[in-house]
Amino acid sequence: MKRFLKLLRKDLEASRLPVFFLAGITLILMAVLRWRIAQGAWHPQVSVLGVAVPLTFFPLWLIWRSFQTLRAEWREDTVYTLLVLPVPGWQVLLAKLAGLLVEYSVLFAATVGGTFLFFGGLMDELWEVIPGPWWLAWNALWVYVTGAFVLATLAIHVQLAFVVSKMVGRLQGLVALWVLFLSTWLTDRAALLLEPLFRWLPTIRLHEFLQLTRFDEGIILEWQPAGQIGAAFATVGLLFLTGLLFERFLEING
Amino acid sequence: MKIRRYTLAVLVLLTLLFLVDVRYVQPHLVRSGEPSVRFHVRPLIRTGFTAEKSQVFTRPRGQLTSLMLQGSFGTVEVVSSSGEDLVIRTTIAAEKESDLEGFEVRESISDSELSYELAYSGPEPAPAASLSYQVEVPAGMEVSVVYSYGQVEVKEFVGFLQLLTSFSRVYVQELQGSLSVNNAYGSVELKGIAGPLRLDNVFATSLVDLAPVDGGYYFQVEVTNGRLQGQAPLEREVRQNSITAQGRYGEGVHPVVINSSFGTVTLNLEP
Repeated sequence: MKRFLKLLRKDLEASRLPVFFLAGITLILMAVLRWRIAQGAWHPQVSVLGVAVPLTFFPLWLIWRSFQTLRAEWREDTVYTLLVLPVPGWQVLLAKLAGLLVEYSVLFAATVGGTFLFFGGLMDELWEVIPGPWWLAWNALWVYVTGAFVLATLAIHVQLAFVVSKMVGRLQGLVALWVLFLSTWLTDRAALLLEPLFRWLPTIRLHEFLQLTRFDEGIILEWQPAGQIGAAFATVGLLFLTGLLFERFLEING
Repeated sequence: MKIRRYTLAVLVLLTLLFLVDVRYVQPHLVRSGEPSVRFHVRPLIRTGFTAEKSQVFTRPRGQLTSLMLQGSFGTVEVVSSSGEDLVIRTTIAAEKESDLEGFEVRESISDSELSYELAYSGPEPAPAASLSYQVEVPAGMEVSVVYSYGQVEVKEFVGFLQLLTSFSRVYVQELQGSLSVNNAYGSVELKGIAGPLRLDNVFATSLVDLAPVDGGYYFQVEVTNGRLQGQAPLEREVRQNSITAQGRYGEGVHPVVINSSFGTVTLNLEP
């Protein structure tokens, strides 16, 4: 566990500067927008930009980071050290994944916090519709959790694509793209095969869990998780496969 | 170098498997067809209306061949009668007595069609109000109902029925003639239907029980992002999230055309 935490700390230290820079830029953008709106120079609807820009850019940034965290090991020649450490390959990848999730958490907190801090006073109509702050916090939490799962899945696919691309001699970029495509297809097939195993799971009444009925009693939102659980197992399998390839079959000079 | 060769070999093998899957397996793959996430808004009949005013219209059939009813937030009950008069009982409901003042039921006759709708002439904005109907029509007439956020119930009907509904519960029992239903959100339950049927339904469940009829039925069903079940004799073709089914019962004279998206369709033939 100590070794894993050391790896995680190393990745977090590498990402600290860009993440705090991005979070800071986001808050500054929001503050500038709020200031101009308060001056009457810009229409209050411009505040949407303050939320839309980070929401568009951050997912792309995080996908890029999931690729970059591995690439940096080759660029800075630290992959040699990484491979001789007495740590299984999957833990190395899991540490990078955990680092990405911390980055995601910081950026999510900056976006949500900044939105309420700077634009909360402009959202009177929204406050009238929303049942209450606890309802909002509860739903924001689950939006965060869902986003984390989606990011983790994407990052695992990207890690596999990168590691496999380092196992061939040429056209590594194209190979990475092709592996990304094939791994998505494989996960879909595996999810389809595994789905019958989880059909016994009950349908989750999300409208009750997320208390959407407090928003409108007529809303019904249900989720049968069998397919997604199959996909989750397949994705975890890919993480271990990537770890194995990273640990045993990687060509460092590639 | 060995690793490179093995990697390439595995990638080529997986690519071939992918191509075989796309070309030969996926077209025949039977998925459940049911989306894992289901979202819809259930119709809610407004219950806060305590003030009511009623009006009854009685009109001889004469040259009239069709009746059109429009409204929302209440209930519609239609039944065929053996008489020659159309009897339309209407009820306007609102939260307070004062809200009712500007509302009236507007009756209009155009050619051979008699129609009813809610009209408001009071100060704006108009308060919320519902219009409900209880209707008796002579057998053989054409009846059209345009309704939202409520319940439409048709029993022992003989003639031509057309329903255009949204966010509503639609219930038809014992119908002889032709039926056309176009619904979005809510539920559609059609029982004891004897005659041609066209049903277009989105984000809603559909239950269809057909009664035996001379000439039999010809079925054409398309369900997208939903499930098709029941005992009707259908040959199904499943593709990705869409199910297409065709079938024939008896001579296949009366068409039964069902198009449904994001909902479960149950199609049965009564013995």
